[in-house]
Amino acid sequence: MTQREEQERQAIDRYYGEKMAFPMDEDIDLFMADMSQSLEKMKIADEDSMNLSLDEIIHEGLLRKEEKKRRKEMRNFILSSLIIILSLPLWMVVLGMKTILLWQWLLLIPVTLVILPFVKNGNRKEVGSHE
Amino acid sequence: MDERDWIQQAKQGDRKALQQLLSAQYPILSGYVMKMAGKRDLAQDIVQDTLLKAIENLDRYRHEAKFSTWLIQIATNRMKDEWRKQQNSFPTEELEERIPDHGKEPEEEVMRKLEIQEAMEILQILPLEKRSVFILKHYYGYKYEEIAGMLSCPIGTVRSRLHYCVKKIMEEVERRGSNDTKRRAGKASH
Repeated sequence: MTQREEQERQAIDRYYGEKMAFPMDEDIDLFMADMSQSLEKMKIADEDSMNLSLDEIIHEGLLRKEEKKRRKEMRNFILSSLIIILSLPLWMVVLGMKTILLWQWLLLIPVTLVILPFVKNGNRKEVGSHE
Repeated sequence: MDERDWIQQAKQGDRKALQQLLSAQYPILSGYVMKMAGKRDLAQDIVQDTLLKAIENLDRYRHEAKFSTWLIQIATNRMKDEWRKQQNSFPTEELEERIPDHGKEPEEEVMRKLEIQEAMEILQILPLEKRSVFILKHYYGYKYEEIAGMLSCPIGTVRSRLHYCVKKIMEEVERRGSNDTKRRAGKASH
């Protein structure tokens, strides 16, 4: 970056009150005067003329939120069921059995309860972040 | 009640708080998106999507930045997706007819609309990423640091993009100014 460019950037900083810049050349003063004039022309107020009904958006948003929650619960249920089913052969090996009885199935409940929170909290992502 | 309280209540399912919260941010969000998109229909879609996404994900908002900052971040990401879909350009339109009247004298109103139209046209010349830096700084007065956070880029990049925009705007204003002078001179000679 050239010295001139840096001085122009400092002039912009000063215009926007971002930070105090160093003393500048007369030449940069001219740049600043032109800049102020141009930027003055760019002033536009926010035009609030969109035909959006916030009430409708909120209604739809809340419906979507409910739907999302329901889908998430369903996914968690399917995942935990899968974990139980897939861990069955492992339990059979651990318990040294060829068949598994009903009471032994009950042993799987604490395992599921331990695993479930990890499944629920896993893979969170910030909405504002880049996709 | 401050913003934090509204958010807290909205998270707990208070619809009135949610309405209050979004109404307060709506002018900034719609103004930003309109200036970025340059097309009212597209801007409406983006604002609507942004608000829907914000409602859906309100529980994830962590108060690390202002709520308006979070909304602008969502809108910017949505806009980038749209920009990619439309192959790096948004279709332009005649805005003049669609700018609402402010009930001033007709002549004054026409001048005002022309000025807005011109400023919007100049904004559309700037590349999208640079345009967002300029809009956030010039119209909404965000600090370099905040803009850098919103756009996920270093402060140095924010400064250089702003510098690019200001120079480009100066050139464009000058070009349009000299064209106007030539036009006026042409008319006078006839």
